[in-house]
Amino acid sequence: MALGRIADLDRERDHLFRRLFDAHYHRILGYALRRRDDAQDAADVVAETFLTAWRRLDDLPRGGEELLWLYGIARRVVANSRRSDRRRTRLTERLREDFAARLRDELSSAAVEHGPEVTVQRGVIAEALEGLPEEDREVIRLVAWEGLSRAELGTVLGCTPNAATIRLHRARRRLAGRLREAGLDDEPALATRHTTGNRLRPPAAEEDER
Amino acid sequence: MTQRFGEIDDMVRRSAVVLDEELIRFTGSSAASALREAVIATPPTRTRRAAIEVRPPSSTPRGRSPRRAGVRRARRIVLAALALALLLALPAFGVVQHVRSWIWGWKGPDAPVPIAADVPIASGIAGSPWTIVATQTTQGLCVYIRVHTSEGTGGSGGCGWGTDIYGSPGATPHEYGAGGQVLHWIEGTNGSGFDASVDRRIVHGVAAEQVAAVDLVLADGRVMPADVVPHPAGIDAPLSFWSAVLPAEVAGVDLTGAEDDVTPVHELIARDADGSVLERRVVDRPNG
Repeated sequence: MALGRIADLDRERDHLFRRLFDAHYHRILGYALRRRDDAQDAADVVAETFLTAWRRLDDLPRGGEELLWLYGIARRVVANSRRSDRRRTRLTERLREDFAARLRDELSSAAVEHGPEVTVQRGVIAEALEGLPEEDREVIRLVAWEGLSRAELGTVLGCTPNAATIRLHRARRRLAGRLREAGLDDEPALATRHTTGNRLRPPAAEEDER
Repeated sequence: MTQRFGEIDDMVRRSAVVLDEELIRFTGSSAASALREAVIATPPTRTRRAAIEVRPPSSTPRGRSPRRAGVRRARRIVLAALALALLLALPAFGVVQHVRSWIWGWKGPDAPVPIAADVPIASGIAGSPWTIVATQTTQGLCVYIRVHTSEGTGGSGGCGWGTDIYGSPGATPHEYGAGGQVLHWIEGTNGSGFDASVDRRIVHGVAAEQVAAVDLVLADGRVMPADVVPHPAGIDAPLSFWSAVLPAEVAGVDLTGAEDDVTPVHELIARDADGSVLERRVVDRPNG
């Protein structure tokens, strides 16, 4: 009998996951915080993403696509979390509550207020984005926020780079139209007006103020 | 147009509430570490196809009900509990988070709660990789055979092992144990055909610490030795474990289906270190 073989495989699996988690935790956390309105929801997304990754670790692509694979999972988690009939497992519930509490504490200690100007401009852009279909929003965000290339975008979306490029182009066109309506598309000053200070302000802090 | 898109991208980029670079410092933070370890402590399966076989409770009065009916009833109860556990899925984090056990995957009023880490007893490959795991739980000692396939991990086994074995806590030294039941040197099951990916039947059980060798008398009269793991580290009770992969065919017994109520093993023979027989125990009737 191959005594100990299974135990070795388990250890390898643990090690692999720890490495994956430590390497990409901050990116998945960022992905979640940029898309959810409060830390609780963001924590939920992070927890579910890594839970799914753990359960599907056998599917983990090697090489440079690990992060894209995680983004793909996170994208589905975010999409699913918007469904009103979504069922949460108790495991996720407990895990996310514990994680959310810890995360809120950590982010609160790092919170920095934004100036009113930045907040207003961010609001206009967010509004324009919100006016787009979800698919358009996500394509634009994946490129702008996660910094994906066209090929990487295709990997996360599960389509060819060409198809991803076309979807991105169309989404940008629609966003440009929205911004034009809002009178923002020809303001080069926008780029510089946003460069003020630290932008980290956890949604949880906003929640606490309410 | 491209330049305008570049500017729009830049605007969107700057609209982000937080940048990844600002979050690097949270890698390895208390929240991150707790999440990572909590996730690792969960069962790493996509789907659990566990069909649980439960040993007939030793308190079942002899002759009151047929063994098959008892086993089926118990299995139905445990299967229902497991189904509920899988539906609600899962462990009570923060309670005994450091305990590494696949049993954390169960939840429900009847689910055992691990109080110590899993102890691997034996493993091998019989069509699919399998491993026998013993876990001390709130429902006593649980012993399960787990089968690992590309679709996930399934399990079959039960809890409450060892309560009528010499040396188990609560048992009196010689003849009677807790509740007045007769003590034995060995106990075991006839295995389960719960997973079609396993091409051989794997049987297992526990024995008193003094048991050094175990022979199995098969239904066709052949005798084969079992592997004995003497009192493994991590198991509090002074128990040893035994297991065996049965031959592909045992005359007179259909081992091809998933039916659990077949008895390819007729008798367990427990021997001490000198080879003397401590007990011969028939296993194809209620209470072994």
